[in-house]
Amino acid sequence: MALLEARDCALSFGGLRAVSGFGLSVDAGELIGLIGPNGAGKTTVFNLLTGVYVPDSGDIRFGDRSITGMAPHQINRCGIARTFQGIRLFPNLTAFENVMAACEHRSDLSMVGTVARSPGAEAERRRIEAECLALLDAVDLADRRDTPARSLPYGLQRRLEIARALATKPKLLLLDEPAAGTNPREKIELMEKIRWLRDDFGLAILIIEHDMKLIMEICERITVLDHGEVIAVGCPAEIKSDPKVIEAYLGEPE
Amino acid sequence: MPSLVRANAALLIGVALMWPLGAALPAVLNAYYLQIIVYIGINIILAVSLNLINGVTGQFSLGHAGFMAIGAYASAAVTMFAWPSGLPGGLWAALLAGGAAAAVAGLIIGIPTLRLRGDYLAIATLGFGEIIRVVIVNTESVGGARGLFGIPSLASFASVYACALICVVLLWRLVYSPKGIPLAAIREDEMAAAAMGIDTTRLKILAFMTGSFWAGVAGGLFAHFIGYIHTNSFTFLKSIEIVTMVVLGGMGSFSGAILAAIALTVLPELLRFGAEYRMIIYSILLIVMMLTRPRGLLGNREITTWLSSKLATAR
Repeated sequence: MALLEARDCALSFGGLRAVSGFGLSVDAGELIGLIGPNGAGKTTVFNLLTGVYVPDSGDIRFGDRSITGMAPHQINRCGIARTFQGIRLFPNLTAFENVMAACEHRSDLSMVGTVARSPGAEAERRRIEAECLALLDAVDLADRRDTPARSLPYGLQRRLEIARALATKPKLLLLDEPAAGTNPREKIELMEKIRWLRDDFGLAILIIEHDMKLIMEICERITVLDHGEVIAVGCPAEIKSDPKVIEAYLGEPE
Repeated sequence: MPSLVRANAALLIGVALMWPLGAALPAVLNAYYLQIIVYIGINIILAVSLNLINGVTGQFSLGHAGFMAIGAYASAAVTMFAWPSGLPGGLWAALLAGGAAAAVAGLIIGIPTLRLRGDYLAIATLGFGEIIRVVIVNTESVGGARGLFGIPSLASFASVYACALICVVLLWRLVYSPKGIPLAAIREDEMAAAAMGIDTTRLKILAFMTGSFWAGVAGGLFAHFIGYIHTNSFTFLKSIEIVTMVVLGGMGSFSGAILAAIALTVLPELLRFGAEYRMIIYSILLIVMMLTRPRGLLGNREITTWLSSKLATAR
């Protein structure tokens, strides 16, 4: 059974049809790419999957339940975490606090226990702190733990966003242009990191990316979106030679 | 249980020390100074609790004086009409009741407004403060427009500062814990916070209720210190005064809120020489302050982190 299954989803803003007839299926542990020209509706799809928008029609299922219409925090608790295209960290919080903020709903820390410093709450706090530090370490940010997120270089902010998403213990991670604005060397590192994350955390990963080389190299399957509709699904080799994809990206032949 | 006592030993000793300190103070200070010091303590509770709502969680509340009023009247009602005279502990029961009443009011205001993002809370709390005032003025059983007389003077330096210490320490522990960091995350980016599984509505209401609770306690202390309360003490201007303390101290900073609470309580007294020009000088000082330090005295940092960074650079 598929981990995530979106069927026939449509969304319009007023008269503008942003997404229509969208379908996607992701299996556990898969690495899938979502590509398409600018304005094709890729980020809108992410917003649909994470509950920022509710589809006008269609159904999104995660595991054995429908998540259509759930609030973003509930969907996250089901096991879908995301990063944002235009990085949305908590700018004035430190790297460490950014990760810790994402641990909230998983801890059974009581408010009374916290303010009274009960032994149980203290143990739980230490456990969470250790976990956050391990996550920072996983993205090589442990030495920047006390730096406010806004003062981190761009590439590190991207990595911190991934660590923060991982702190919610997702089964599926949605990465919205993780390589945007990074240099070629960072891109290669990032590619390795994404593969490693998938294997080490046992995640399914769905990536939006403009960098074709990166997508073709790491993704097992690719879905191509144009004008809000899926125009092709397949393995990188199939996508590369698909006439519709070539047309969408390069325009119609004269 | 013993481990709980050990974890809180310093706090308990600090609270206990307030009583000998309170007994010793009248020997060195006259009643006027003592009264200002008590007002500082009450204002510290108000500023620190509003800081939890405005500064930390980023929800702009303009009704803190309203919650203070609820706490003042509810707690006065407990000691005057409900608590058997002669039985000790009346003040503490009254403060808990005042805080609880304010927290319940916070829940009622919070549920419809905190589900939304934006300035709805500011508008709702602004209206709420006025509603409370008008309701009290028209309730004859609590004195109505004449105010409520004859509240037993149970609060003193010791109980005010014991409460202030407990309030500051407990809220500090909350805010700088895994339970409190998500509150700051809501202030920083509510959409990202929700995407990270944070139930933003629930936490905003929780923070709002906690802040309102302490405003109620501060109101109860105020009522039992001066023994007479009138709605004029809890007007919109009082709410603005508390907001000013939070903004001036630096949004989100406990030490800033405390420093500003001290400064803004003492300043009007120091300016008494100016007679009718007093409020003008006060306003000018605020404007200069905002021009020179637009993010408040301490920004969103604590004096402890500031000191440790100074020490680190000096080394």
